[in-house]
Amino acid sequence: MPWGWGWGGSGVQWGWGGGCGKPWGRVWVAAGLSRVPPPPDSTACEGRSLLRAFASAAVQRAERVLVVLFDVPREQFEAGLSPSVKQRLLYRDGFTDPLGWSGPDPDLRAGDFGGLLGGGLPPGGPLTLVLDSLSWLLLRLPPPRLCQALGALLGGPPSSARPSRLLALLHGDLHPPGLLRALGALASTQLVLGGPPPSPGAPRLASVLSRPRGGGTGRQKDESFTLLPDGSLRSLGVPPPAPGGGEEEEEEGGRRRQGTPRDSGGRAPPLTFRLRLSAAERAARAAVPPPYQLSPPRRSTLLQTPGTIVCAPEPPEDEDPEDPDDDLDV
Amino acid sequence: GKFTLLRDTRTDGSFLVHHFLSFYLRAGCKVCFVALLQSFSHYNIVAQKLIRLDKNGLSIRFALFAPFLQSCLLCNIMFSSLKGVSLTAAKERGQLVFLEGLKSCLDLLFGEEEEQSGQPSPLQFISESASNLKALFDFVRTSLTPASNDSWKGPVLLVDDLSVLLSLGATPVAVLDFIHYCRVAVCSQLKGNIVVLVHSNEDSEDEENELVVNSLCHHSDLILWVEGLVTGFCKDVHGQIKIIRRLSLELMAEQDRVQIYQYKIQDKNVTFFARGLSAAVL
Repeated sequence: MPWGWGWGGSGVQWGWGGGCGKPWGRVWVAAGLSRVPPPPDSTACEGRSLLRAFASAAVQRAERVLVVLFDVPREQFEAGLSPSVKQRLLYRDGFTDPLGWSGPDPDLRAGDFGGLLGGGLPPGGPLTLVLDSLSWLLLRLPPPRLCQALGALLGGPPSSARPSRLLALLHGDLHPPGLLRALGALASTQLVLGGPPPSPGAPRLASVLSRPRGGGTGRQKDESFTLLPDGSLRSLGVPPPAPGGGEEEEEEGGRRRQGTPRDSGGRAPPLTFRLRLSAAERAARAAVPPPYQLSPPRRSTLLQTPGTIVCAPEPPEDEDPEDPDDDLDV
Repeated sequence: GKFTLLRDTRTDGSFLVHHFLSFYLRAGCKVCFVALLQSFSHYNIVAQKLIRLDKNGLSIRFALFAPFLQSCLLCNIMFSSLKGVSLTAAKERGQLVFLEGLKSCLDLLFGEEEEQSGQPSPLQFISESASNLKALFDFVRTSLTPASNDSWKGPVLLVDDLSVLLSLGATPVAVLDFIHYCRVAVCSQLKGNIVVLVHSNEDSEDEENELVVNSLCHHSDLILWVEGLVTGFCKDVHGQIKIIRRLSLELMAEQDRVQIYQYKIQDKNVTFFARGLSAAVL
């Protein structure tokens, strides 16, 4: 299936798909993912900003971007985007009246996938479909029907109106794990967002799970990234290992394993002491001879010196005249 | 308009509902209150007891409530009044539209059938096969759509509490659809605010309630999460409140801001303080 989803273990998932097989944009992946809901003392890991960044990048590459909104209104989706990007985004409004409660002719109804591309699209480059969000549809439509409809949308005859790729936002905390796994199997690529960054401005973590088109074992790659105020994305590559990491980060099957308990950002909390030795300290410790090993000069000195054994008996114990045990007459 | 989610875990967060009700009525907003948990007289009595902050505590408590004020685009707080708010008077002058869920449910299930000039009961989903809450949404939209002679400052929808709808038989998706349309009508079209209370429990096996809560968290501009102390009951500290401002929804490259305070509910007021700095400790 030439489309995919991405899902973040901290509560937000979003996805992407490509019908042409070419990697689209940059893939931001990182280590230290949390596969459990965010702890109560951290905010949810939102993925909409990342979705906006990818939409913005597509616009800047002169591609046509069609944004289908169910979760949020247009004003909220394009918040923070530059005016030039806002002008060039195309929209289908599934937010205002998806169920037909407000009037007979809503712009887009839930499940009306034919209306996604209806109304004509301006000519231009490849068409990217951005869906915010897939969770909204999954809660209201049977998943098989939804998957078939989206597959038909993407698998039609090549034309200027057929999307070449699909990006969908999926909230992982709203769906059962089985459904998430099934959707992941349909995706060509999944982007799994890690928890919120440990501090404002710190890089965020994400993991990219790629499935080759010809089948086979998928690959996982972790990256860190930051979102810039102008809406663009900057990849920071593979994140450095956690300080003091050693045996506990040994990989199993090529995947990083989380050993010690981590905070929501996937990093160990800062400590005021250090549990491990640095390389210099380890070398210094190795250089110290153990006490049971005698150096040759010391050994020869001991052997040459005539040894004597002196027995010094211990002084008699002080007798306590008031010892109550003396009263015992056993 | 902003969507504020009141969430309580291991405690009762209804004091926030009373606060926001008095807050918006004093601000001159048109309020539609969907009260499913308590009777009208209960809210009226509490509203009359709640007083505004006095001058001495104003500066500290204003800072604590600043996130609340920033979430209200139409706030106009009058700190000089020390009197409570009469819900009866607000209802009579048309400022407050009150849906008493307890009474409506009883009338619907056990009352005599009466034709109400084409106006179905807002809670008709209880007795009908249709599980959607369209009738409730129509009630909210009709209540808050401004009339030509209205001079109120802005519409506000207050719901106490949403979890009751699940208990009454509404499906989670029906509840989410209701909130979705309320966001469209009240926040997007009328530029008003919505305040909704939900209950949650981390260890809860109520998957439907957790689905509703998690979904609402994704759409909230402000989350006020009230939690009981993990150590149990305390006479001087009744719980802690976590204020989560969802800046990530508004601005690019911004992280949500979280502030945590502890609180103590008194007879006519609630005092907030930094963690570990209750009056009993200082």
